[in-house]
Amino acid sequence: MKLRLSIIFLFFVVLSNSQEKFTISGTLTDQSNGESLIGATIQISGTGKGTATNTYGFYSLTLPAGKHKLQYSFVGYQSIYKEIDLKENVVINIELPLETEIIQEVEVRAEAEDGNVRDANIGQVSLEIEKIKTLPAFLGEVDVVKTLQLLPGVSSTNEGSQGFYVRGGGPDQNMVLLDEAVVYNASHLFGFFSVFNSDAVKNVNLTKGGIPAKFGGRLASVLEVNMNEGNNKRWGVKGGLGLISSRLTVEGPLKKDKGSIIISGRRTYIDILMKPFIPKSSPFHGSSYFFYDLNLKMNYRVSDKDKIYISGYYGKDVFRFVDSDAGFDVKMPWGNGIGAFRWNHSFNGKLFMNLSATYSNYQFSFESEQDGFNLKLLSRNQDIGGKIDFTYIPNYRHRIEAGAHYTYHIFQPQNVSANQDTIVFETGEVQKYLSHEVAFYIQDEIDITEWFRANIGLRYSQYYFTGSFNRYVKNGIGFQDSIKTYQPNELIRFYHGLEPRLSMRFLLNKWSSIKAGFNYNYQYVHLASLSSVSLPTDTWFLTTDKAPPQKGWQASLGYFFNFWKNNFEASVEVYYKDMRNLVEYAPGTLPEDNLNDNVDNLLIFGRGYSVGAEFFLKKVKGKFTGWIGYTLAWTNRIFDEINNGNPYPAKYDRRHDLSVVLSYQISPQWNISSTFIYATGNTMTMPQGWYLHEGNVLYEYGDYNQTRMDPYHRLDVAFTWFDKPFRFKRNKETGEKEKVKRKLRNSVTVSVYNLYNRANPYFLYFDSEGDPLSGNGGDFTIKAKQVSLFPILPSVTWNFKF
Amino acid sequence: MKKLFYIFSLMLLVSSCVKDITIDLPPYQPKIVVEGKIEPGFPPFVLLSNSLDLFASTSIADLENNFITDAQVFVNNGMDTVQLILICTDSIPAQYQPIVAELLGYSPEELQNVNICAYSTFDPNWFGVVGMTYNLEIFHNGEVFRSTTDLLNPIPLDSIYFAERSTLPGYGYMQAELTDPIGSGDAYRWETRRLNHYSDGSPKDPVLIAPFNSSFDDQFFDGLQFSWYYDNPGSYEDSTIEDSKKGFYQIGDTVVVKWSKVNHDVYEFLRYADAQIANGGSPFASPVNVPSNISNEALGVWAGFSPIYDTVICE
Repeated sequence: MKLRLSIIFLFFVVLSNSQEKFTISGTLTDQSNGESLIGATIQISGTGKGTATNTYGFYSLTLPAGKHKLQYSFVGYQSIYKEIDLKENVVINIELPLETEIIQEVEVRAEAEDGNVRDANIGQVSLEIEKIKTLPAFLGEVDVVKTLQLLPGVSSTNEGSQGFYVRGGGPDQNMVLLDEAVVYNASHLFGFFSVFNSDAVKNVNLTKGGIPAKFGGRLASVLEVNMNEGNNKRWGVKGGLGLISSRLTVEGPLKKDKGSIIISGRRTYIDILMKPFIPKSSPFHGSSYFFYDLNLKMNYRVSDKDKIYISGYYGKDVFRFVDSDAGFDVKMPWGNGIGAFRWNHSFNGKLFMNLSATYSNYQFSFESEQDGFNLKLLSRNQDIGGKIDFTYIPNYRHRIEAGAHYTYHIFQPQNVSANQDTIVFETGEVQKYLSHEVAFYIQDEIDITEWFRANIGLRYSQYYFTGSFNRYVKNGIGFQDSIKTYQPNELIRFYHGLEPRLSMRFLLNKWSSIKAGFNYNYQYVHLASLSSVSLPTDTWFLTTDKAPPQKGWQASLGYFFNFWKNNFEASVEVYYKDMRNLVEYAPGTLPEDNLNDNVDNLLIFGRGYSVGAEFFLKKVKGKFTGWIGYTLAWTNRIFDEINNGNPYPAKYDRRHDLSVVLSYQISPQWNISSTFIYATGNTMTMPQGWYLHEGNVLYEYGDYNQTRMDPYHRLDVAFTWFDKPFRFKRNKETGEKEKVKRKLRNSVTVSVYNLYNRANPYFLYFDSEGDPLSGNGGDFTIKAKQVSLFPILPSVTWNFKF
Repeated sequence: MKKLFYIFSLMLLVSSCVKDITIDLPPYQPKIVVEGKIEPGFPPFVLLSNSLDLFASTSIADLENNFITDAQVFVNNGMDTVQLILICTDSIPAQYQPIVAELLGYSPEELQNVNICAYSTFDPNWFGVVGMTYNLEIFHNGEVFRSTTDLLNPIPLDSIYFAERSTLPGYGYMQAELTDPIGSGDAYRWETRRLNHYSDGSPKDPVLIAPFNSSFDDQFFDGLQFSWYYDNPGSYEDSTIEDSKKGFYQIGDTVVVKWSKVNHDVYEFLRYADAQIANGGSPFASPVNVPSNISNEALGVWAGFSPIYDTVICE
């Protein structure tokens, strides 16, 4: 161990030389609204050396004294070149103009980036929200998670399924962070929409391989979603009216150039629109569904060195069904509530600190009432977290990050209470699972030579499963079950582990590089599903004395190259992933088995592996942009209790997954875009035979996931019209026409979902024809039926901004 | 919950399209299926058949040929053993026809039209007795299949009555109340039959019918007094009842309620069978096989039912 640590510290030794050095630090922001820019690059012009801004738009670059020419750039913005004569530590805050704006004061060049080739990150993708907005969207609702699913290695199971799947990992294996707070369920309405309102989102970054040491707690990926900070220069309103929902965002300065606030809200209104048209005889009568969400963010620059942020999200889906004739009333609300407080402090230009306090809450409840019989089901996860992260940038060769994370988990996987008037039924105690998750990490992104860059890190995580807690010991039917009770704060089980992380980049030449990544991760939360599609009812639960933490490692290797003056980026990545202690409900578990028992008593544990190759070609610059992504992959699971312990394909095992995303800017006013998806069909467990019991047909199911649905493919297109930024106004004094900036900006997007009306499989079921007993209706046959969800669906959305 | 998922499924189905598809399945190896039943005062009945390939078209003749008639079937009560004999539907004594009809899911009238043979005995010494345990042993094609079931002491209902709905005068559910004995593991089954006839003289419910989720155990009310109601399962197939009134009994119905005590293995079989019938390939449910209480990978159940019958006049 000592030797290992010594080697690691060797890399962290700061290379020094006798020449005097000074630090340039500062922030990069959008010139138009003061929003900080994440991942913008600062390069020493002509050398390829440099740094990038962090999540808060902060950068630091330490260089020898003397003259330097710096290039500040970010995709979608014009680069700014700045010459400086470095004699002391300086703070340079830069405001980058958008590509479409024209400015005169500084030297501006628009150049493609070569970050794809140069940085050490493997398996990392950033999406620009403005680009996402021009892509076709389902019912006009722009959705970052849906766009992520167009990237190689990322998929959804199908329409109407929650979450996303990264390189063969389950939906619980993605760490979804909204301004650093965990989001447990990132979907509205069974995954048709994500919880991220595109007007409130600034940036989306997905890491699917070579996960750096600063992230932990999940095996498959990290999805960082950063909310807009709000315009700190002027007040503004933007919004959109769509077919099923509307959005409204208000933002403005708390104090000009110092702080801002943004409030964004969204609600669907299909329930209100449909209500008058549902006749009383319809089975839908009495049912309604809607979702809404609210985002709030405030930031304030307290001093040159300190900035604070407060972020909040609250969203809810509500399904209700009332049948007054039957005296039946059901309410099913579910949603997330998230809050984060962050304090950034820059010590001396080289050392940057972020302190965060976060709170996450996801809950699902089901309440029904009929004739005095009340049933309430509640499952809830709460995380209370604290983080301290330091970034130390001694020179442009090193970027050292270290920190400590703490999370207090309070999970109530499923609690049921039932009463009939005064009789209260025995449904078990309210079960709370409590645990403390702690992690420490250190990582260094280091330029060892000109051509060899590495990000070396180590994370150490600890997990304390504590009381108070009741362990149910089931003794079989007819015997009294026993309960072992643990006292408050009593340690029930402790787990810990080292999680080494490594990613490397070998620059072959200016246009190409080879990258490799390795990460070993622990995961202390799990998600188990009883259904063959993901639902909000899926139960989250913690690592316990019975349920060990999931462990996994992934190794990936990639060849990255740019061509045509960085207009095109291309990559080929291969990966292998091994996962242990994966969870499933034991075969034959029915939903009611969760009651009066510990959820983990119903689970089985197994392993999984995934292997694949991802091909990616992206055109990043010009009028014509887009990408083609193709993944070839195998994902298998091995559980002793399933399939006699033989490997079987995971339900999201996709052999082929192809996405083509194209966007063409016809003119400043018109954009056309399209997406095409092709994916191998999902696996299913199907009956092989049938038999009769009391005249009813019962099925005998065969091996797990041995049947595949038809492939999924779909083409969507969208046209977006933007109004002209200027209008002409006659000057009353001169009588001449003048160009004036429009205050109200409009755009209209018309999109067509599933253009060629493909009937894609959502699920399969069986229907029988004829009567097995009487022969009425001919011979008895069972037929497989495929249900498809959405035919061709046009939609129109009007967006505005003033 | 079921109703809710039904609505969800319906919402999805309405906004969607459904088409027939073909699926390639691996060759199917049929298994022996046992439908065995014993009740107090009645002889044991054991119907043997083979399970069928999922997509094979099956005529009545195929179904008749699918029954197994060359097995040796024995029942043991802990002291003595009897070999059951093969009795065919055309030779079943009248008093046993309802129980055979119920076992097969046929009406007694329909039973006349098919030729199905089951294993049974007419020896009154082998009629079911409460408190006894019955072992079943089947020899077929060189294989042996074994099972055990009990005839437990029946637990009477405290009360049972027609509960008319205030919002729908004249219609209501069948309400019942039970005091469950202390000690976990008690399991029950509910079946009903309307004794009324249609205008053409045919019976409304030719046999007892089990409603959805007809069985439950005392996991949540062990030792407590518990009240519940069931809908009218026969109403869904009754074309004389308008859609908005399906599920209800109506004033004038005379209803026989068969309230049986079953052992836990039988309850588990019935519970999973109900779950499978209800789910029918729904995406909200996981594919679950129905657990049999018969050895050697046989399908089906050997079930002892200890019933108490009540008759309720809806008024």
